[in-house]
Amino acid sequence: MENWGTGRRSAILYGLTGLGMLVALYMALGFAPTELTMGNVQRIFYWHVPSAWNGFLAFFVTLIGGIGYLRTGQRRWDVLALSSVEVGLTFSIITAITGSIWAKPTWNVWWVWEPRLTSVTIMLIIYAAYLLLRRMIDDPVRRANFAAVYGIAGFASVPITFMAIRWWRTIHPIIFQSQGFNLTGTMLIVFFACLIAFTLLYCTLLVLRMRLEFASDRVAELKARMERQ
Amino acid sequence: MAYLTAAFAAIWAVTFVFVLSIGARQRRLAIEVEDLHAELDKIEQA
Amino acid sequence: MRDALDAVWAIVRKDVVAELRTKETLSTMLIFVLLTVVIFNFAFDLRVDNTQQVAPGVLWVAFIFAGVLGLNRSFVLEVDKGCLEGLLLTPADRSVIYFGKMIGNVIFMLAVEAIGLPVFSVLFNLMLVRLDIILIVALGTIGFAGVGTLFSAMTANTRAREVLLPILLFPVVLPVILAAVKATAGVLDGLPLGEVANWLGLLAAFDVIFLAIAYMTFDYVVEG
Repeated sequence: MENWGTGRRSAILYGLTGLGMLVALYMALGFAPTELTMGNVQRIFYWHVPSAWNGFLAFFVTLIGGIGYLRTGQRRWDVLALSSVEVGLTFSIITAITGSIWAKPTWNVWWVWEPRLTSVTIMLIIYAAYLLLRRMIDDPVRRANFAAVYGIAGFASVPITFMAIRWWRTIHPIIFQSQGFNLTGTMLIVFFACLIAFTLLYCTLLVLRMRLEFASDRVAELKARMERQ
Repeated sequence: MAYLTAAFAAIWAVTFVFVLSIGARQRRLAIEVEDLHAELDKIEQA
Repeated sequence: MRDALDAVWAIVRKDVVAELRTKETLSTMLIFVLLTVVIFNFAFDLRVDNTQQVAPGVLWVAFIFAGVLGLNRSFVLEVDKGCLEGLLLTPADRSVIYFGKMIGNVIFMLAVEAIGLPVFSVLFNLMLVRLDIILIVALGTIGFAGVGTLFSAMTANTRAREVLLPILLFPVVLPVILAAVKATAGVLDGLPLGEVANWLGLLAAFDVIFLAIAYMTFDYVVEG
């Protein structure tokens, strides 16, 4: 894992991400039509939702990483899980902040305890707890095992929490319903462009974080060899 | 409009904080590697 | 299968007998439950007219805070006294340890709840000792102890173990608390059990899902 994240493929990824984010920026701010009822503030939606989806994707990847580690015992699955949690946290924080900023002009409150917002907050707490758990364990194998188990339990609880809170109350706009999307032509294109851009961003951040972790492993390994000299 | 700018700024700010934190940790690792190399040289000379 | 059940029962008996000798954990749990209600009384100024609104919430907060105390004990003692290694040396499947511990935890929580419910009935002037509430309490306790036993096995081996358990446990176990509180509230408001069926369903589903997850992952948690 020496040159992970530095090769030609990674360069292409980073380049595409940069390009994608610029395109997303232009499309959301300029290309997309202004919404009738909410005005310009509605444009936040083009970044808010992709962030939320990617936050969720990140935690799903952590689940995969956890299961992968438990089955194979290979460090790279653990690195994947850990890196994805950090990136997922970043996206979830963005989701919560942008959601809150959007809520103020729309509903006149900074925060609302409704299903999706609450679930994202709880998800955030669970994954912050994941990082805390890792910090409290010194042995790397035990750390990886426990983190994997917690990641699995945590991920399983999030949809149940969401359902439970939804049965309780809801005022969050439901854009994506089972029949189809509530968005029209141009808006749909802009949304998907932004979604692709943010997913590329997720991949980039994930690769960067994983590279850091592999490098850290190498250094620890070198240190251990040195002590033995 | 201010809200829009705020949201936009928040996204970039949070992302950059994350990237910068990775960068900072990477730099700390690099310093450790340098120290290790220095020690290695010392041992080889001894 | 027979051996496994015997092994589970042996662990449960060991924990119950050990606890009955000192009654340390049970008494601290009980006192904590009472303490929580008293504090809530002053924090929210619980008067006769609004106890029905807040009773379900206060009830469950009291139970889960006491529950965490009990959970902490279940593995911390084992780790501290080296009993865990002894248990691991037995030729039984690891999940036997999990179920034994979990059932023990459920029994302790149920014991505390069995005393707590009548006491709360008096303090709140509400009749809480009824079959439907007992059912909700049982389902909630199983879910809470199910996840709690798994996590306490982990945290017993870490630094700051007593503090870490609630941090890990509460967010994950939130649906149980939510469903239990809503179901209790519904039942106290006079709704028939059928009306709160979806909350009961959620509790049951949670219990099943997390017992399954715990069964599948417990090995990895006691190995190290």
